[in-house]
Amino acid sequence: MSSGASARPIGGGSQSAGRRPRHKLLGWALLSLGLLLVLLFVADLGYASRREAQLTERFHQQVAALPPPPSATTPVQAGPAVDPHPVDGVDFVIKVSKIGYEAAVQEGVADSILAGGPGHYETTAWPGQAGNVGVAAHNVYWIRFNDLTAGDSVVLQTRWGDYTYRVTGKQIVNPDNREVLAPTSHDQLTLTTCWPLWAGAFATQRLIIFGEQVDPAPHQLSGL
Amino acid sequence: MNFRSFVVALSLTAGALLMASTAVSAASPGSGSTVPPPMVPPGGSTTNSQPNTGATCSPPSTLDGNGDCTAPIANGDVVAPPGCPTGQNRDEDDDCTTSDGSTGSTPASTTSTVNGTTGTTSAAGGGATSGSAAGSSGTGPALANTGTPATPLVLGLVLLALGGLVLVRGRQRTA
Repeated sequence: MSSGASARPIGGGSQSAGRRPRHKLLGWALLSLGLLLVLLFVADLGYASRREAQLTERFHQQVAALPPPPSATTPVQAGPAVDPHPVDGVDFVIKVSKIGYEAAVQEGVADSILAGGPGHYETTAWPGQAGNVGVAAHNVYWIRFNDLTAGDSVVLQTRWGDYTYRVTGKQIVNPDNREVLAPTSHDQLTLTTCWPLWAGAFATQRLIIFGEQVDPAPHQLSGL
Repeated sequence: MNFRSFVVALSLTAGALLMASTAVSAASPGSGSTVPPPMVPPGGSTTNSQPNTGATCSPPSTLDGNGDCTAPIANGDVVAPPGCPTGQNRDEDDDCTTSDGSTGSTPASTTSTVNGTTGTTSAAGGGATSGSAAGSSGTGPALANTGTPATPLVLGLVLLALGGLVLVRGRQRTA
């Protein structure tokens, strides 16, 4: 009896001792896998940011190698002399001095492009052309763009000159909105990203930031 | 609930969360779609224009402040396709023509407007379209899907939480 009674707790103790390593093993395996996935996400963002910086730097080198404009005091002319097209994948550079943002804008808004930085809506106008210039980016890259308020400046630097836009307002719209990027008869800049900015792919709406061209003087209604 | 059931329940919860995140991502509209929607004006908020027939306008059109004939647009009315004045459609030559062909072709332009303040035809000129004064022509490209893909991040955080729970729960049971 006494041996049987004493064997029971000994057996239970060995089961508990055997289960503890399994708990630890499973727990640490899950923690490790989770940490790995988080690090992969961060590394992916870091790689994209690095590539974006390289594109921006290359664009600046290309612009610096171009011949200077006829006169330093001559404002940027109406627009590109020929049909604009991306060079080395880059259309132009967007600069927002208020939040210290600068990035090369590539042509198109496909997932592969937006994964690395902002993209230019292909069917919208280019800077210098009359109409609505549309630019989009993932919310993680434009996390501070909600700080922009009316009157702030956004500069689009192209190979044929710089175009300065003044922010006129913001709007939250549904993803199926097709009016904010509609062609306009005045020179407008429309920036789009997902809203809320912190929500990543779970964002259910879109943040739209509007700007009007102030420098050089915008086209007249009967212009281009 | 024993430990094994607890782990299974947590795994099922994590799987459900992952599937939900994938579904939300897939539900977001795709980027760069170039398929235009039917050009239907916003419900009843704009006016539709008709080619002017002369000094008077045929009902229900009325002469507006610009001397143009305009008529209300009912919900569901289809406005002219891009580049064509209202009442005309693109023909085989890619020109804008009226449906009955009674008037000559009009070379297609690159834009069209559905805004109520635009798209009217000149009463004096009888055919020259205006419409450049509008702020917007109604429709543009679809908004890009700009939500940062965060499935690895979400899954990683779920696994971190799951691992932590397993460790804590295991320690509680063995204490």
